Amino acid sequence: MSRARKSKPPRRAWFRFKRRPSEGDPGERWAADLLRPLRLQEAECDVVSRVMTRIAAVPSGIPRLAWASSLLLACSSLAFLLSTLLVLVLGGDEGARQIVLLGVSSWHVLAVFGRLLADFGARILALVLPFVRALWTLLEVGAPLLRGAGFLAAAGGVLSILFSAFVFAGARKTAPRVNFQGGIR
Amino acid sequence: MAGEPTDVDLIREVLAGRVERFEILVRRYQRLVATAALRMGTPREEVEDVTSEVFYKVYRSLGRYRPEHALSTWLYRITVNAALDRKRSARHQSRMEELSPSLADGRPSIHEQASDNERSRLLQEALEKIPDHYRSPLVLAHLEGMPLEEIARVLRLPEGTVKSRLFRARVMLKSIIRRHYPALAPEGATESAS
Repeated sequence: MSRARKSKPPRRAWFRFKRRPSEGDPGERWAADLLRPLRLQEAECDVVSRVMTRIAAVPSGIPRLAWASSLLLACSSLAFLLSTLLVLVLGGDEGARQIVLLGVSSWHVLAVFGRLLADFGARILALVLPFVRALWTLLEVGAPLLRGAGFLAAAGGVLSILFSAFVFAGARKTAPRVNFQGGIR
Repeated sequence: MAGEPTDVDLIREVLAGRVERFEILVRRYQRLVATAALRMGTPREEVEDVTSEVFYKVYRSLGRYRPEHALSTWLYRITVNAALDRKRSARHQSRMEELSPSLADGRPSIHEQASDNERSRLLQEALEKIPDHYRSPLVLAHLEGMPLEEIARVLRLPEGTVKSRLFRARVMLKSIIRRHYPALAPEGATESAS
């Protein structure tokens, strides 16, 4: 197939990125003609009694009632638990007293451990901070250089993307057409 | 008929507790739902199940219906999903073995009808080969005759996506017809870019 490309004026670069007219779409009329037998199909069925029986089989009040009763049950269980705990603590029960003591000693252990951790962190910081300050000073001095290098890298990236897109657009024209099932036409 | 209650009125009544009024809605739309399910590739023997399932789902979620859109749009959405769910769960090879004779009128001879049935069966087979998310817009556009914006509402997709899927679906269908069912290709129709 000869292409009339040579006779046409050279196209600008951005024309390559424009979406080409749809290829391969057989069109609405083709599809309508093809599918006409299916369009003539109609299904007749009477599901009224079936649907109404099914609806009637599930009384609408039950889910709401179940939800309300489960919520009520949950609230009463919580109240019972809290009141039991209160009675145990106020009544001077041995078990409750032990639990309170255990809680207090655990709190002490946690506090000591936290203090140790804070001391350790402070020592580490005291060691590291001079280095961080020195690094910061270096960064401040070298910032213009870093900015320049970053700008150059970004420009290089943009150029690279543009070049790839240009090459891809060119390759797309000559590439073999592949259908959706993976075959080559 | 002027005295017939509108869909919205009926829905309000059902929500108010007059469940028996739902019957009118079922009667009004059962044919539409059954036909849509059939065209979505549901085997004829399962169409009744899908239809009743759709109406049961509609009843259960009636409170979520928004009257800004037609009830039929909502029904189509539920039907499409139900048909696809059924197909996925059953994983059956959709073979519509016999198309019962509830086809439209205008079939002069039994031979012609048989030939149309066979053609429909093969077309349905061809459609089955298209992935679900491409087939749905194709069925809604070319079998149900829906405009693009309504398809977008039914499938809850942007119009651009529906358009591109429709385009892809037609390309796929053409390829399938060419490869597997060349005899089905319409004779008089010209292929044109749309």
